[in-house]
Amino acid sequence: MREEQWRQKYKQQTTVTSTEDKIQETIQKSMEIFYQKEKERMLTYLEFLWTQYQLIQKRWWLFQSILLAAIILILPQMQEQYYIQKSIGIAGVLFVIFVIPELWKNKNYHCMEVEAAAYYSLRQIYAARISIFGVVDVFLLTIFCGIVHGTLQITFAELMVQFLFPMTVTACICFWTLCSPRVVNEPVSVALCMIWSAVWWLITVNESFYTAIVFPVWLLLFGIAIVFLTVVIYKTLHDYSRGWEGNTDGIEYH
Amino acid sequence: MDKDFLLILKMKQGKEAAFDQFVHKYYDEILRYCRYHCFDIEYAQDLAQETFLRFFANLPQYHYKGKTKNYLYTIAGNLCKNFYNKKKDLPVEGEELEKESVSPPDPFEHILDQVVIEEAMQKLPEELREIIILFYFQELKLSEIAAVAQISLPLVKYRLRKARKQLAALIGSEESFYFQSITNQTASQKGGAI
Repeated sequence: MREEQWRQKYKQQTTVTSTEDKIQETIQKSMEIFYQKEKERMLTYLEFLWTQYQLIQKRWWLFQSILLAAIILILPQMQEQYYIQKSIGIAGVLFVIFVIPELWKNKNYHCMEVEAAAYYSLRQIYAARISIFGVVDVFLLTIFCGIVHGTLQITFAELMVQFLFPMTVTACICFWTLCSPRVVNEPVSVALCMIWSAVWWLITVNESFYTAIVFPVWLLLFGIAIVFLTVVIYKTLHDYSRGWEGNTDGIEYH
Repeated sequence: MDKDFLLILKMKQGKEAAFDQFVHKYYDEILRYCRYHCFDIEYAQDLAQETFLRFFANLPQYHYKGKTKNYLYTIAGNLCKNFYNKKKDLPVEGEELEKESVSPPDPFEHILDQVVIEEAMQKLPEELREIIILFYFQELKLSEIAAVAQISLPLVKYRLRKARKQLAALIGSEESFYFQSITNQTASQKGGAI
């Protein structure tokens, strides 16, 4: 028998057709085993936060700490309240700018698609990272405000107006550009922050204008900034898929 | 984006339709592969199912690298090897073999060919049998075989040449053996009748 002949004949003889019952049984069992294994390896929220913490570059926190430490060391050397106001406001802007590279990392390296393939959604990943940044930054700022209040006798109200307010507005700019539907890259975001820094500097330089704004107005502006920040963070988490390279053939990832 | 990438993504997110689509896509191919390895449709169905179960058990840790089919073949290949090893440990059931070769409803010659080829295939070394199955029966390209078997392309070509020669020789000897045994059997039956 010739080789080709027996091969063809054997193939015909041994043709095997799958039955739909068997396929359905396989699908059912496959799903069961997948869910079972998923259940076994499910991370707790704390473990998930810990893995995200490990992925964040710690150098930015180091820079933030160095910045705050530098302010604490430099401020006592300044005799005039006028200069303290200027410096502290600019430092607030710089403090937030250090967060930008880490938040923009995924967008810059086009790794949104890769993260979308992970078990946790991008929303969860971003929420975890923002939460971690929030916790660490609030911790650093609490220590900073405590020390500045204790050593320089600056009231918390002054700190809020001179440091926390410009910082919150900077954070608003960062998240607003991050969730923007237009393609805005990292340098543009930094540039906008710097512009805001200049605007803030002009406000504080203009003594008559600065003193004209009474504390309740600052409080109101700070409140508005906090609300706006909450909205843009929510929008960032909600519109995370906009940064993808291309469309995904109509498939939604939620 | 690759279709398998999206399917895996959706399966990881627990979308039932994706499981359905994925199993339907590869089930037949894997079933055929198992069938050529174990020569028994029931076992082949079990092995094919086990292949998918192992794949899905590892899916949470699976990172897509563009070769999902190769991964399925690797799992199926390992399961088939285990099947061979278990089969070797079992005592040879001569009676069953005799029944298979004589009693099924198919025409005599048809069954003879199939048994001869299967016997010859079983006698081939494992690595050569794998190449024959993938090349002739699964109709994979040489480069695909190299990826599935995790060997180089020249080695695939070498093994294929060697396997063809050995198989041809084995089929020749198996055929003469079967003709002889069938002739003896018929002669003894005739003798009994006389």
